[in-house]
Amino acid sequence: LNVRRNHGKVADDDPDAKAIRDCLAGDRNAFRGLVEKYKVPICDCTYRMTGNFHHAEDLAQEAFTKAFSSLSMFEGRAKFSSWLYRIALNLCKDHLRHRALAEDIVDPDALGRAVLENSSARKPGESAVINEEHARLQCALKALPAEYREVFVLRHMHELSYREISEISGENVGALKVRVHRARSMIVGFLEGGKWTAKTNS
Amino acid sequence: MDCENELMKYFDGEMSEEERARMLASLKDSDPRKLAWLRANEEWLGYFKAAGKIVPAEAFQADVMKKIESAPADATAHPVDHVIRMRNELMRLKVFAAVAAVALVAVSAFLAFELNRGPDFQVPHDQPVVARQPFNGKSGLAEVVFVLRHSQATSVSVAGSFNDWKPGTLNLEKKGDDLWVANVTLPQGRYEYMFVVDGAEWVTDPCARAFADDGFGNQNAVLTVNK
Repeated sequence: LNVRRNHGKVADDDPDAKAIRDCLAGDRNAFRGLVEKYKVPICDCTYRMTGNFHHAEDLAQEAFTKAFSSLSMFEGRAKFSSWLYRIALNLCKDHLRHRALAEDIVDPDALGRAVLENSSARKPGESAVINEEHARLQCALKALPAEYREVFVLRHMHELSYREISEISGENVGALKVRVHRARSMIVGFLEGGKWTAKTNS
Repeated sequence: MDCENELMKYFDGEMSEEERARMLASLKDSDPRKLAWLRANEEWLGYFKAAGKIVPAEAFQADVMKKIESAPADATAHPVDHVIRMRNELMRLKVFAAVAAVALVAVSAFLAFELNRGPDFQVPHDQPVVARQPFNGKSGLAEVVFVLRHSQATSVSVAGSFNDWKPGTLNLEKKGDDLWVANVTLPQGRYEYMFVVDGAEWVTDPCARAFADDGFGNQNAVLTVNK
């Protein structure tokens, strides 16, 4: 399959485009590189949304397999990563709708098992502190409604631009900025334990 | 100053260094508490930024690829492929429909010819006959075609042990000049029957394979339906 079949929207200079073209031409193995490249952000995203390490892995796997099976629908208007994020987040929202987000927003198993990307930079004795920090941040994320948690994670944890978030969510940048701002206020309000009143931060 | 907008710009990094410095200096003088809140925000956002990302288990990639390998072969087919496939499918259906229509016409013509021609076996002119066409069906039923050749009859029915010998309940239909036909579905078994012409004349089927005495000096035809 060539670029023309995708209406020329998969740009030749997009590093993911070749893998996508190869997949569409029948080379399933070409998808391996895309999984390798995006498994960490997608897995982290599903974890931040669900708070459960096992569910996060399952959802991330489902996102990749769904992306593969729908690859012919990918028109290349957005980046492949944005499209993948969108699939993963939609799966997370479906998951959360069907399952009350309960105590497992801070997954104790994940605290023990999860390997943080920058953990090698930390001293061994810091692991308990890391876990405590991790738990606090996850609890704060839990305090956010899913639509706020989603944009907060993308903006402040995955450091995506508003344009990328707009590609993922399909919402306009202005509305997203307001939502992220409210999410920030809510999350810091939670972490500071009501130290800052509405009057203070308005 | 639109405070919310200023804060949004501050945290979204949309302020120049100069603007940031001016805003911080302004807050330091006018609202130190708000400045502390802003600093707390920055600190927490720094923690989130530095939180790192969860790394999936080592088998993650292999598990995904395993699922992908077992996906249907056309999983990545382009929508254009689907359209082409649908068009081909429709073409195939059209061809099939055309063939089916031709076959239907041919079968209908054949049946019409056969019914007008009468049964394959030799039928004495103006003699009543019965043809039996049992078939093996899942239901255990067999289709029996009663055929009577009678040129003067205005109505013909068949009465037998399968309908309590009631004339007029199973009527034969006239085909052509002198042929009377009825299709009846019967379970397997042994039956005795007679034709009733014009509601009054009881006629024995002379072509029946077996006969039985009816106790009134006449003979019933005997029909054995095998599964």
